[in-house]
Amino acid sequence: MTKNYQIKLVKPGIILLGFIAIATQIILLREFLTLISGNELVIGIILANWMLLTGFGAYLGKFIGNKENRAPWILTLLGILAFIPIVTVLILHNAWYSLFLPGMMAGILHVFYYSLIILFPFCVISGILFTLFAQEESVITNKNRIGDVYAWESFGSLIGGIIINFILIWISTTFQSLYIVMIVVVMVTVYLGIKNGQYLKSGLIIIAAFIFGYFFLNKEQDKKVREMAFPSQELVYMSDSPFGIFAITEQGDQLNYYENNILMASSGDIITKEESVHLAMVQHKDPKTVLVLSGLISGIIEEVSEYEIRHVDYVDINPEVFNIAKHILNTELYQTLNLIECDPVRFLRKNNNKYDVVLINFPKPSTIQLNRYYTKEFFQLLKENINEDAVVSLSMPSSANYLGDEVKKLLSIIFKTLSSEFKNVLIFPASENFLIASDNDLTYKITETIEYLNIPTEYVNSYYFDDYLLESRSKQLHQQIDHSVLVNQDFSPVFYQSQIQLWMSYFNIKYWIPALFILLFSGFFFFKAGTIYKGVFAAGFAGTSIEIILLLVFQVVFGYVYAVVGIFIMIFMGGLAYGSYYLPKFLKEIDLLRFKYLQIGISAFAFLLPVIFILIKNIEIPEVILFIIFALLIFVISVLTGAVFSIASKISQKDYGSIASRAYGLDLLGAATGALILTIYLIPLLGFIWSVLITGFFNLILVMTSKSR
Amino acid sequence: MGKKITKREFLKCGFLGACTCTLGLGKVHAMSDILSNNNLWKWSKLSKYYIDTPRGAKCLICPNECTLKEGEVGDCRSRVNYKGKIYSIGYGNPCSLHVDPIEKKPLYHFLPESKTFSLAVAGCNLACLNCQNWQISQVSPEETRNYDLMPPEVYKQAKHYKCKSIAYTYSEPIAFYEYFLDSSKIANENGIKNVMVSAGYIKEKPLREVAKYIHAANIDLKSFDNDIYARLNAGEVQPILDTLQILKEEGVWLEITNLVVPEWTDNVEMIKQMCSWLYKNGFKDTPLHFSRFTPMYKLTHLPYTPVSTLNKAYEIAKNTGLNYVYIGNVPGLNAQNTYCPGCNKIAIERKGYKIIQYNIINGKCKSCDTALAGVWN
Repeated sequence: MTKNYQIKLVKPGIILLGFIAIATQIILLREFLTLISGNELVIGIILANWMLLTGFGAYLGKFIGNKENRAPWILTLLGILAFIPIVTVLILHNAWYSLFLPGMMAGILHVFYYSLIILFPFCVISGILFTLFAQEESVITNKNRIGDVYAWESFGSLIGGIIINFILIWISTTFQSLYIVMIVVVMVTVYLGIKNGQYLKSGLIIIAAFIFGYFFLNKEQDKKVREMAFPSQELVYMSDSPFGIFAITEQGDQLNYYENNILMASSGDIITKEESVHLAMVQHKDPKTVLVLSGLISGIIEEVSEYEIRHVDYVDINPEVFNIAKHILNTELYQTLNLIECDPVRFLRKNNNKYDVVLINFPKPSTIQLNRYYTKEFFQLLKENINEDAVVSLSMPSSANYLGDEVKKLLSIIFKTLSSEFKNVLIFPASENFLIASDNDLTYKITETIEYLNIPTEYVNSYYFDDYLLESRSKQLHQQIDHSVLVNQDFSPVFYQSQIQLWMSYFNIKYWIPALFILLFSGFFFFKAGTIYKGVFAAGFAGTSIEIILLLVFQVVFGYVYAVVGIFIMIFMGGLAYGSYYLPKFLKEIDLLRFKYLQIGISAFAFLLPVIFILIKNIEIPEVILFIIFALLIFVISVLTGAVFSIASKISQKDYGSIASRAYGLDLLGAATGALILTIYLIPLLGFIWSVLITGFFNLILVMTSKSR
Repeated sequence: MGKKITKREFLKCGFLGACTCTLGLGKVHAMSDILSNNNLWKWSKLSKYYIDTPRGAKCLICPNECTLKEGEVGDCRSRVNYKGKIYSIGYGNPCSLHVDPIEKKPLYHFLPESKTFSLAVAGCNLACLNCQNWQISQVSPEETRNYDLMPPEVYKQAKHYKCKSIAYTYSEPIAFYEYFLDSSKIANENGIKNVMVSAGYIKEKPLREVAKYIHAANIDLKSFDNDIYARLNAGEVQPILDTLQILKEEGVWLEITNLVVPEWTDNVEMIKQMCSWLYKNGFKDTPLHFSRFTPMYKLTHLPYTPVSTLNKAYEIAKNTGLNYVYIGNVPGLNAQNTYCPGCNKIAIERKGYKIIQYNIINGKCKSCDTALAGVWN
């Protein structure tokens, strides 16, 4: 093998590794979320397992292969890796429905163990490959090139991210995307194999690719996999979009609407649609304009039309809902109905209409992103869009016949948040707890008013509701409201935290238990690591944490736009590549002192962010400028994170295999810890500003306490 | 530079982590809150139904037959072994008190349109994945916010709210058996009727004792398949069938509810078997309520029960020969009405919890004089 030839092998190979890793991660995460309710904790556990297993693989990598046979190992593992994503998705679904009870929500331990086992083959092999590539490149060039390999891998991730997020996810299904990724990996691997004289391996990979094509192409794999989720229901419609997997099933005379396998609505659910509409509508003496935020498929538009309405605006972020609407909405409704595809926060900022009634039907705040729709700032914005006597309605999980501690906290926070903007808030215990808010007086005389207005209802009427009993139960709930809770705010999402606590209570898990586990596990490796690797851990922690905070803060001030979030993630990957490849080349000398300066740089950046956040929140900035500011901020933190990794690997004095495996492993461990601790604990408990400051302090303390050698 | 992480250390760490996780996430039963000055709290009552065994005190209230060592808590979370004896810790401390229409239980043939004073104490001897009241059934009385309402006060509350009956409901009266028994006795002496709303997972002796004081029961026959009962509810079918027989023998007015859960209990053959068993065993005049499932607790990935499935179940029950069959949780269906088995005319027309037409005089159909089973006055 000549030196030139070997470089050809490594560079496309490592870029390919970055490509397949990010593509598989995006696809697998989506698939996991169709099986498991996707709150931040679940997403965090899956991603943390991903990083831990990859880190473990990187550690194993130093024991595999030697100078002579490393290249064949790389080709073999790359060849295997090409087929693993398809097999993983198939096993993911088949094993799930064999192992778990039908329709049952998965618990935290299920998520942990299941994702650990399912992700094991792919992540461990990709981790091994990183170390093998880093060793091969460094041995060939006789230079420590681990930082460069990291940069190329990030570059590969950048390409993979662009292809998946901006092309494949829009035009192809899960299995189509997986096949395209497989074909790309097979082609590049075969090319590398032929160049490397590995004809037999290349031939085997091609044969395997044909076998996969024969068995799985044109076999409607996507439909088969989705159907597993709905036994004894007929799948009549399915769509794969960036917003998730949307499915409609038919069972008997009933249509069921699912988003990522979560039931959004069933036809004939009279109770939900009537309660969602009438408890609020009867509170207004003459509702003419109505704003409905999400929930169209449950049939509430038809219910609203029972009143003499002049105009209804319906806003939803998910374009798929509008495709469904064409099939389920009565055409007469369109005379007063205006369908608007937009993030509700962005809509409210630009809207000029004023409403009499606002019906909020968002999913419950299981993620920080959804928390934006339940904050004081959101209700303030809403107030700018409503008339003085307007009525606003939303619902919280039912407390049935007893208000449990978790539901009590949830109800207390939303009650207090609504009360901070509206003079009157009433809670109606129905199939869910409905909160009705207004600056006008509110009434418990629901059925009396409905009958007076002569509104035809099947359920919300005096046959099922007793106004006196409703008032009595409502007052019982009001007496139990805890007024000492905090108001839910954009920058301090306490509401989301109590939703996570409620979810955990289904499985008898205390909120602090996962934190203990994360800290023990990460802490062990962190304290075992040397000064330099502690720095890599801290940079991984800070880089990921700050990236997440920037993405979330951007959504708070800008609203959610899928493409923009995708662009930011790409900027982060690009920044990592740039920082790890170019930044060390600008430095005259690379030593521990400069390494520490970089860490101080990350801390300084973290300390600067709260100032920027406060300015952005209080000053009106044009959207383009806002986008540029956040793009720059994300680029800076990713460049710094990439540079820390690269410099750490250069100043370490070990064999290449050890450096690559440790640096990569601790970088990923730091990132995993950051993602989990930040989203589950720091942000909900302390808010964005304190979270980013703590991240900065963590880095700074590390620099100050670490030995100079 | 720090020390190198060896393979052994790595494995040790992983093991330690996994152990911490498993330990931390496991259920921990403790008696911390119910002990004060080394005595059980005031809401404790010595159980009548237990025996000492070499392994510990064995509870004989329900078929779970938990054997509890000192300090241990039963599956129902409301019984503890304290100094070798089993105590109920839910005596006189209900967590939920409400006034409900009797039709909500559901009881359609028992004092129609009357109000019932409903109470519940935390705890349940089953663990249904779809429990509507999981926030009280799957916890212990020490974890809920409770009222202080000893048995002599219960009937007074019922009277105060003008309720004709007391319903022991929401969670599981078997789990707070001693409180249920004593409150029923006192209420009975004071002219208030008692209603047991239960899964019926109880042993014969305690059931026969309490049955003397209760007037009506709605028993949730959750399915007719042992495997499903075990996986969905953590129970068995036979003890529930025994309960139905015993309540009938004891003269308690009985109605049965069957929740039709898609994927679990919607099998037509199973419903046929259940109806056939009921018919053959003398329950043809016992009202059977097929109830619509709503995605709840841990079964949120399932759809609502289609109305067509409920209609199918209704037809099966009627064709088997059961006289009083109803569909619940679906507003606007005719299957809420009571039809006379003699002339098939509407005996009671219902809408929600209200009666629109009442064609029963002295317990007989106004049209054909056929006696209609039930406690009408």
